[in-house]
Amino acid sequence: MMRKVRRKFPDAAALSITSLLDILTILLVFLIKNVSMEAQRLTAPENMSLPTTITNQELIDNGLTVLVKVYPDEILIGTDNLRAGSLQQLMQDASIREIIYNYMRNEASQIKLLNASKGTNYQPCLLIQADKEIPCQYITQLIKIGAGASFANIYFSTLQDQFWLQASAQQIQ
Amino acid sequence: MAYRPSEGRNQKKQTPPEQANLVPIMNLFMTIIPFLLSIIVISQVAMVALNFSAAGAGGGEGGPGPGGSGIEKEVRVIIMASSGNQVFPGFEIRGWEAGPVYIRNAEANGNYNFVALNDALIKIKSSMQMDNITLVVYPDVLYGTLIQTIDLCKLNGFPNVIYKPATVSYGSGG
Repeated sequence: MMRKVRRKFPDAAALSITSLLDILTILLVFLIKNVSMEAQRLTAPENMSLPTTITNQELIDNGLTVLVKVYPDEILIGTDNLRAGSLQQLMQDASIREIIYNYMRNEASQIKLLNASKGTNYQPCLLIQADKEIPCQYITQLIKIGAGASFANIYFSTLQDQFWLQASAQQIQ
Repeated sequence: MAYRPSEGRNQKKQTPPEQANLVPIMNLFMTIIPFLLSIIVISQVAMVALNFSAAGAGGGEGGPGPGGSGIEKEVRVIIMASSGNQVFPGFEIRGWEAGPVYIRNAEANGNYNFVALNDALIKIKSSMQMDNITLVVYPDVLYGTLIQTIDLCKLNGFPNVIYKPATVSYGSGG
């Protein structure tokens, strides 16, 4: 007579990860949609406190941005964050201003070449990201350089805050 | 009469469908999703556009308004940071028909009184119906103050904010 073996425990059911996979797929699509390379250029830089604004203007449709980051101790230009010098050097050293001018001029001429070759109508836009504690004289200098290098559209990067005026009202009371 | 054998007899024994191996794709997702989450922007980054004029060139807008005298009116908001000869930390508004407006930081615990500036801009907009406003900024004004002033101008119906750095002139002044 054959002995009947009874299992003590039933087989563990395989964990179904299909629903988890569905969630992850949706999440992945959402994240890929939101994270674009252009958005990366417009994110708030680290170690920089941007000023707050209520208004939020869109970049012109055919705008191609050239980025300038102004930190209290250095100026970085382009998406590659090329160091152009310090704020003091910007005001005192003409060669630093020339480096920045040449870079901007080169970027603007490349956009024009792109327009000529592809029949597009891209406009060079200068996007300045600066710390809110920086005196305006440095920003003015950069605007002048940008204007000289054919940048007709100048934008400032800010953080959107609907309540900064109310916060300001509380400060003065 | 003989019937042909049923087709079901020839079929092989059905096996349960094999479950796809999802482990590699799960590994991929577990790598990509934390990476994407790390680079996603949580804070809302905005932008403020600026119009600026060449020295003395002005905004170059269209013709004068209805019933205008032909001379384009210019309202100037002057932002100052330091004290000096006729200069004080705060705002000064010139070019308004009602006369100049002085908003001093000394009357607002040493802070820029953006609320008073906001009120003045509302009144200017309602009385003068213009789209242009000029900002004259002294060099030592902080960038944050400049941007918040531009923000208020745009909020109050002045889409064309013209930026002019303050120029220091020597000799006889007005």
